[in-house]
Amino acid sequence: MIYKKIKIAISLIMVIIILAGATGCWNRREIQDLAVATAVGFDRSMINGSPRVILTVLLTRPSPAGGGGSRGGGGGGPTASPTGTVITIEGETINDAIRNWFLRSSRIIFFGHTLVIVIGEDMARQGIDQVVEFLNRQLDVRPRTWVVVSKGTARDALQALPEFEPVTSQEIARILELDHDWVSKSAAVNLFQVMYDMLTPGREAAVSWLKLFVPREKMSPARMGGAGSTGASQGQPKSFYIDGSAVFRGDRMVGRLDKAESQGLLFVTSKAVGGSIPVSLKPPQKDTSFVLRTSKAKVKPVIKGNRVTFEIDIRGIGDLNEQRAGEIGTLEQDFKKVERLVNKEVEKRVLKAVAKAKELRSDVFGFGDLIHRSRPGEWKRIKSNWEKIFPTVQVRVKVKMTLENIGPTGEPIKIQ
Amino acid sequence: MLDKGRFSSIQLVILLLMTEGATAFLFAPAGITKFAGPDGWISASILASAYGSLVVLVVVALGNRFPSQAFTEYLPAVLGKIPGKILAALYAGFFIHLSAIILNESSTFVHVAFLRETPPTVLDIVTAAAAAYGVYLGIEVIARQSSIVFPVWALSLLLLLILGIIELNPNNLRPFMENGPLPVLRGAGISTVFRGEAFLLAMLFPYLNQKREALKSGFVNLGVVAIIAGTIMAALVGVFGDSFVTIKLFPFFELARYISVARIVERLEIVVVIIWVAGVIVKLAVFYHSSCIATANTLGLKSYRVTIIPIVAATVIISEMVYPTHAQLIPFLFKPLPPYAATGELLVPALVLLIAVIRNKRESRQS
Repeated sequence: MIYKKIKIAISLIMVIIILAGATGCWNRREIQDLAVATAVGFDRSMINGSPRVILTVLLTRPSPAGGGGSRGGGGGGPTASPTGTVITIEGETINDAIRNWFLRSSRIIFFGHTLVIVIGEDMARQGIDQVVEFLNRQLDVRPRTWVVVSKGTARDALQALPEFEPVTSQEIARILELDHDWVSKSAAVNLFQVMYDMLTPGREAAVSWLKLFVPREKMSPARMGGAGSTGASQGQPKSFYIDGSAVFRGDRMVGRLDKAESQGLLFVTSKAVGGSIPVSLKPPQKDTSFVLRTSKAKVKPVIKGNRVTFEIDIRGIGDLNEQRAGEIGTLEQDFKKVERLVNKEVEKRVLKAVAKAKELRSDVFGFGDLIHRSRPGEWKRIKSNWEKIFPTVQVRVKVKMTLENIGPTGEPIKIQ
Repeated sequence: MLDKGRFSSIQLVILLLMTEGATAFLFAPAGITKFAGPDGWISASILASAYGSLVVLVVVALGNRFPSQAFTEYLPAVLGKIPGKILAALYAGFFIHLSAIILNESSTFVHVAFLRETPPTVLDIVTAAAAAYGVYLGIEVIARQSSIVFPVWALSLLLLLILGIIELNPNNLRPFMENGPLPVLRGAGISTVFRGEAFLLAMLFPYLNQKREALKSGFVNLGVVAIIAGTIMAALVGVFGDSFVTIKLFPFFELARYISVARIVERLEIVVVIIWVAGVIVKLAVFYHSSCIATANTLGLKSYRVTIIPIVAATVIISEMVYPTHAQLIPFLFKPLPPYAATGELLVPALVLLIAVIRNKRESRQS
């Protein structure tokens, strides 16, 4: 009997201990103690003669538990300004900068919701290995976080006003997400892909390039009350857009691809699955749009000694949804005519991209990687001086776009 | 026989499967890929299981000679009293050492990836206590517990694999055997540490219901494990590329972090912890059980239960003293452990079998 009672007593004590342990972990971070970073910017600069890392953090601040209750769960009470709060901190290393944050802030910084990593141009040109290395060791920052390089400093880029979303970081992330399917004009890579490009031999990284601008709409005389006079753009809030890609060699940015060249890059890497290709039926004006629906590239290396030629075979499907009056009907030869022009244009963009990459000596297409994967024997021979060989590679591009749909109309509008 | 429990052939397959898979899916890929590159899936599936089948053949042959005794129990009968006892003592130490490594692996992962501020000792003690309770209740309870946990374990693993494979880029699995077969074999060397754990069959043999099916169960287990391990390797290297898998400590955890389906199904890394804890407790319980039985056999004890607390305490201490951080653990796993484990799991049992055949030793009918 007494044995049974002891057993019950011990069980009860165990239950209490286990329940007490089940409520949480060793340490706790309450949400009202946090400042949630949604974008992180990295810059390098000289402060008082010593090189410093400048970290810019775009925050949303969870409202204190007590105060926010009356607002209800509906829209999520905006306690911060519409763009979130931007805080800049500096330190000798990245982590030093993060810890210096605590000299200034009463909230614990939390990186678990970071959507975008912005790297300033100066930092990118000096090398981003420290940034990638740091992020690779972070458990809070996710490998799918978008990475962009901004013209000027990341600090300025994160101050830009979003035009559609509540927070700048959200807007950048959404723009990059939509890029592949809708315009295909920017590299749009996430943190993992940047690491992959840097780790893989024979492959260099290309990262979207962020640029600030003053929206033209806001400077319009109509908006300025007719008095669109001098200095109107001074003091105007800036917004941003994605303008092609930044090209890296190793961990250093060496140049840029513009929008058309970035599209050429995406065609070679089979990532161009949207976007329009304007061609001109009646030169010199571009007057017809071919809208890409899907495309796929097959790249085959042909190696003779140190002369490497890549045969790029691009096939795609798309629609025609704009043309100069009266040129294209439902006839097959009309279709062929457009297809020919589109093929030429795509080829031009690919060649432009290749020429630019060769000029920058950066293998953003992963041509070296391709040789490695398909011809490992040859790769062993040339890999040590691939950096010298790459600027001499030849490219033969064959494009075959198929026009599939011309919209719900047969004959074009003929102006009488 | 110190444990009166019994379990069936299917339970044996599940037990061996979870025992091997529990730690292999997390700790093996980085090491295998380091040597074998994109061909890691061959190392982890075919080659490792070929090695595993040698272990199973030896162990089952031994088991058929002494069907009602555990490995450490019949060593004196085969080798003579003193050498047998010494070898049994060495095996007790071997099992305790392996248990300590497993315990350390278990806390290292949770400590590095999740509970960064919780002292590993606390994690060690919690896990060890759960496993020790299983050992106290006996092998039958461990086997049944593993059958209950198995669906959760396997389905979670399957879920992550399926969602991860969506991102697979087949180019990452090329080139095939770039540097010849040697790197692939070296990669398989890492895998043998885990596949060789089929040796536990030697300690579990007396508790089998259907001893005739032991060989079949062993091979079914090796086949299933080969498929699982090969798929995991192919998925990891296919999604991430071999360079990235090599630099990461826990590539599978990285895969779970990378999964994103329609921006809704994300942050699945916590599922890895479910798989991890479910598997590690089973694995640890089996290893603790074998350690206790081996110790009790060596000392000639009537009950193995008295050895539980000292052994568990010893493993916690070894785990903390010898492998305080993963800087000590990971190099040990990939360098000295493969030959060390192969000696204990294949070489010595094979010698014991040879001696048993030569001296024509087998269990007398009446005992």
